[in-house]
Amino acid sequence: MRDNGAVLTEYPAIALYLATSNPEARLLPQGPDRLAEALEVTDYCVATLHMQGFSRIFRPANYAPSEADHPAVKAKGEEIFSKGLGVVDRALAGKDYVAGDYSFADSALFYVSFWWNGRLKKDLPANVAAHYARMNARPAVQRVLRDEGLA
Amino acid sequence: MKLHYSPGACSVGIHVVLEEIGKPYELAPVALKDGAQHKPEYMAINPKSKVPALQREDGSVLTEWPVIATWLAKANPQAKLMPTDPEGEIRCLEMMDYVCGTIHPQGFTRQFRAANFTPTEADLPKVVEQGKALAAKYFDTLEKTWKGGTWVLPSGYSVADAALFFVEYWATRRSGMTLPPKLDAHLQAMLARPAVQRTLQQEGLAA
Repeated sequence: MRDNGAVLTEYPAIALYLATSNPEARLLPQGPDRLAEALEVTDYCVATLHMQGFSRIFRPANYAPSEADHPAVKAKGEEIFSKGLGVVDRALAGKDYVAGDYSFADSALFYVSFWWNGRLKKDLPANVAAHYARMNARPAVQRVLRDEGLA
Repeated sequence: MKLHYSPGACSVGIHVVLEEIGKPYELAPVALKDGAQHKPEYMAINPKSKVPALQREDGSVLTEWPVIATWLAKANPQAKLMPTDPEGEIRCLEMMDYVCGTIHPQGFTRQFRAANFTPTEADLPKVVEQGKALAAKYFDTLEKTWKGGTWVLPSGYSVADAALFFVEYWATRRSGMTLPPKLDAHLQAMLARPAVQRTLQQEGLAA
């Protein structure tokens, strides 16, 4: 909820809004191509890795009405997630952050990495693992994890 | 510029955007029915195995519907397909994200690819029904929160209308659903647009 009382929804829109309205934080990639890169990865992390992959793992009942099918749903969720993470991993080659420099897109990759590695204890592919380590070293990330009781 | 698409898939919305812009572009069909999206030839273009994918002049491929639409709108400001003020832009992105991230995959993918949700054949109809119920709920939410006039954003026609168009089209042409009044009027207004008519004709879809 913003200062004028208006509520903004949808992760990528909220992230872009925060980046655009706080230019001093330098979270907004410069130029349409870098911005597209950042939005593209944010969108993929949220709508595919999270909403297609993790949602199957965490809430299989939303997908298959029969409880006997839940393990299959979870397995499909893991497959979607790990294939998708592979795509992001290749796109990260040679880069420290998703759009080159640090931007609003990096915390989207961070949260799905956190779920996969932090919660499910699964391995991250090499470039994503390096990104995750970089994120965990950031003071802002450390403050958030502490505040949310996740540290 | 080349649009990788499948007739009647959500790529139809990006096709509309390209027609609205009016500059030359190529169409490259991907036969989803034959599983072409999972074959190495297409995966070399888009490893995510989905449409739409936009191959740009510099050879790079852009994916994710809302991002393709945003890039096209920003690269073609003369077409006035996205608000230029920060608030307008963000509301446009919010709407596209809702359509592409929620209405499409939660409502319609359940109806069109129920087997992606459950392996049990006897449960397929339940998944389809759940999809329809969700789609109806999402449309109801949009109807109640509609801030625009004819077009979904108060600022006027935008890429967000092309997004809403494809789920409205599916709802009425494929699911046998009835849309609430504002959305129904919106669909009719879209169908009256020459760019939409050209798109449907090019894709061999009924108007």
